[in-house]
Amino acid sequence: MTQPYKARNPGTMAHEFGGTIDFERMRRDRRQRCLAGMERNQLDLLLIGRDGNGRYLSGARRLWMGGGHGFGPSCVLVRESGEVFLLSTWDDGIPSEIPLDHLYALSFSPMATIERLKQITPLAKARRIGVDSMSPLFEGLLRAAAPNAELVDGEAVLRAARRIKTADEIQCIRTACAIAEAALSACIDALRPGIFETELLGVFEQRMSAFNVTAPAVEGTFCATPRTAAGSHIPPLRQLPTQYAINEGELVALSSGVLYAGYEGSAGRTWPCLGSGSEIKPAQRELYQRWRRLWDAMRAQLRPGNHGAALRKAYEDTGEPLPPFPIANGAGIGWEPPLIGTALGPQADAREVFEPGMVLSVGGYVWQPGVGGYLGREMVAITDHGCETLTALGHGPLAE
Amino acid sequence: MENDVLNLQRMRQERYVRLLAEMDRRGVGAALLIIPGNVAYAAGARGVMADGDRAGYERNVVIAVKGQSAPHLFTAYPEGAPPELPADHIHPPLYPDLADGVGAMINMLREIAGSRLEDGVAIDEYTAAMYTAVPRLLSDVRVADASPMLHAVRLCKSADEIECIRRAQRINELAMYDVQSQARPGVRQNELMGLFLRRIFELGATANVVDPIWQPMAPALNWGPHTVNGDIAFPLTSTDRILRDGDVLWVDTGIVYQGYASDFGRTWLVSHRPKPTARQRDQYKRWRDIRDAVLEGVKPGATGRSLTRAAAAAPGGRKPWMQHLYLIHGIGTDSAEMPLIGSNLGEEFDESIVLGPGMVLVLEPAVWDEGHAGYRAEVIAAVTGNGYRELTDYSYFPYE
Repeated sequence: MTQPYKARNPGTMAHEFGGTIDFERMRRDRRQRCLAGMERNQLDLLLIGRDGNGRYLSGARRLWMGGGHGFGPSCVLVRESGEVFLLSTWDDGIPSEIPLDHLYALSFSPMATIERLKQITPLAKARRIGVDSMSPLFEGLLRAAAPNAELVDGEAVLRAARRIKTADEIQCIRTACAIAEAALSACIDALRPGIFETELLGVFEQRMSAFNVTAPAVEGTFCATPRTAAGSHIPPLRQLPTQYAINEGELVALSSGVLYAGYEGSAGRTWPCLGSGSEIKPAQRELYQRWRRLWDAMRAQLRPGNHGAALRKAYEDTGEPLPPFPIANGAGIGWEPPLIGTALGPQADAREVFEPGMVLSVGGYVWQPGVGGYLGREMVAITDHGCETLTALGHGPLAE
Repeated sequence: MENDVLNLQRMRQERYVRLLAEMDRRGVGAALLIIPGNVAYAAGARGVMADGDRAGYERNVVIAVKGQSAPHLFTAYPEGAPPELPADHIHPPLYPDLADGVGAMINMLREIAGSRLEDGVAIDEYTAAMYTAVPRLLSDVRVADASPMLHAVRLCKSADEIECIRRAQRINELAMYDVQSQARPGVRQNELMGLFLRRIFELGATANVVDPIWQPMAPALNWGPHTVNGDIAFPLTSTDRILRDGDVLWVDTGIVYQGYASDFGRTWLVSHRPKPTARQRDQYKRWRDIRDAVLEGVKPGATGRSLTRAAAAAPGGRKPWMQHLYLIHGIGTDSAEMPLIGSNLGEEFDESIVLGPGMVLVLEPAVWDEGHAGYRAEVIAAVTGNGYRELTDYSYFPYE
């Protein structure tokens, strides 16, 4: 709406006049943020197993595996030298600042992996090593390989660094949002009576792929909203698409996301499944209006210095029950804390203070017996004085 | 009739019984599982397929306790719980990736396991938050490594589990017939990916689990990418790379059906009229000889080492599989799991693997002629009482 021209039209291609995103600067800035965090926490080494953290530290495009996996050290950052060491058998997809001799091969032997790390990194000399996850087997091997080292929480350093985005990172997220919305638009075009929910997921993923995106942020929700409260949730919502044939007149929740250069862009919309001659009912429009009041109430809370509990309270003060998903989560290299509006309660939310440069995915869900539900989700960046909405896709006929 | 072929409830019940028996054998009273493949096995619940970090924050968690009739599932997606799981065994999500969540999780473990904790608890992995808090929160409880226990129960599959793998593979293969016909000059890798993802969801896949690979193989290793072990660089991440006439394409994909993975591997030629050269046909013939030699040895009682010997005895000189991978891997609720044969775990390890009925093996030999690329394909064989049953059924066109 008030986005600058380049921000609205980022594109994904390299151009002869240069790109819109300076990836090299972005990687350098991220590494500096991590090194500063290591300095503050007196960490000699960060030893990383989680994919998101590895992407943040290295900028490498490695093979995407869905769903996460068991722990194995896949990236090491050394405080003293600022060097990155990376699990990769080859230099394809690896930024040029990480030389071939800083790579170590895929291995199924934890012993061999640790032995190799001892050879190429200062692991054995380290006094304090930050880890972002751990398995019992690796813990024993690490203690033997670095006998003088204390193994401490390294995830806190990564979370603090990732929480505040640089301008380059926000530009990646804008691009990812544009792609996610393109893919949702394709689903909206494909929506018709009789289509399976899983077919809509297929449409989303195919359109996403057209933009050289090879990984979704999440496979997402493409589900007709229930009209009766048979499920265990109040308000009732199905979030996993099945081979259910969507009926004319149903309201369909479409919510998903993609990764561009590792960054998440996601959005949620609800669209009516219209056949020939069917019309939108006033009760369906009223559902959107209820969601809209919810969104306006939440958006007013998204400003620096405010905290997650205020967002939760604004949601609850509208009289709508909390949905079966976080009403807000940090977004960047995929999901990040904070998670707001969960079963962990308002005390946990109160500790999460909004700061300029944070990016959040914020959403809600309203439901009416006999009518269905409206799910909507937006992405916002916290600015110096409030927030900027990064999503741009309209809410369609229900909002008319 | 359907129930004779695949009975999901029976499958889940048998797995749970096996898990409890193994816990009993190892003398632990409870298991707390957070790794996706283990959780999928223990509870049989569907979650959302997502990028690693989101998958972490939204992970399903299982607590299994000796003497109880069913596992306890903690999930953000209760609709994905098995229908037979009692309502009081389905709980709101836990957040083991967050400090507040770990406290709540351990409280829940104590409440559910009660006095069974006197026999200790097996945990399969630690998030950073667990790693710092669990030793303190469970200072009075013996904590064991759950991984060996889960490896043991997951190694041999029931008939129902094998049927799930076969169906996953069939969906994957059916989608590939559509994709292979589009492997023509000028198509981009991401376009093949889009078509593939669309088709698998139309055909009933539950999820895609890995970035699909469509890698044009350079004829010689020194063309790059450079590897740290001097071996073939495969599998490389897909991009919007434009495929050219005559490219030798190594294809590798994996999807999920009811929690079980597929693994598709073939070599294609990019062309309007694909026709292998005499040398390429010879590569395929040598690959087939290796496949046949290995398959001949697949029967109960054979060791992993006997299979690597059979593969290496086939003429050709170099070891006919990739050093950073394996000749054979298992498949189940993870796309690559035990048994690993021919990996860098070493020959003694291979010797220690004794095949038994129900093991499912993915054979992935690769033939390489330096200067002329090579041939690679994958075959899935389930070990039976006296041999094996092949679960793959895709054409070797254009080589055959």
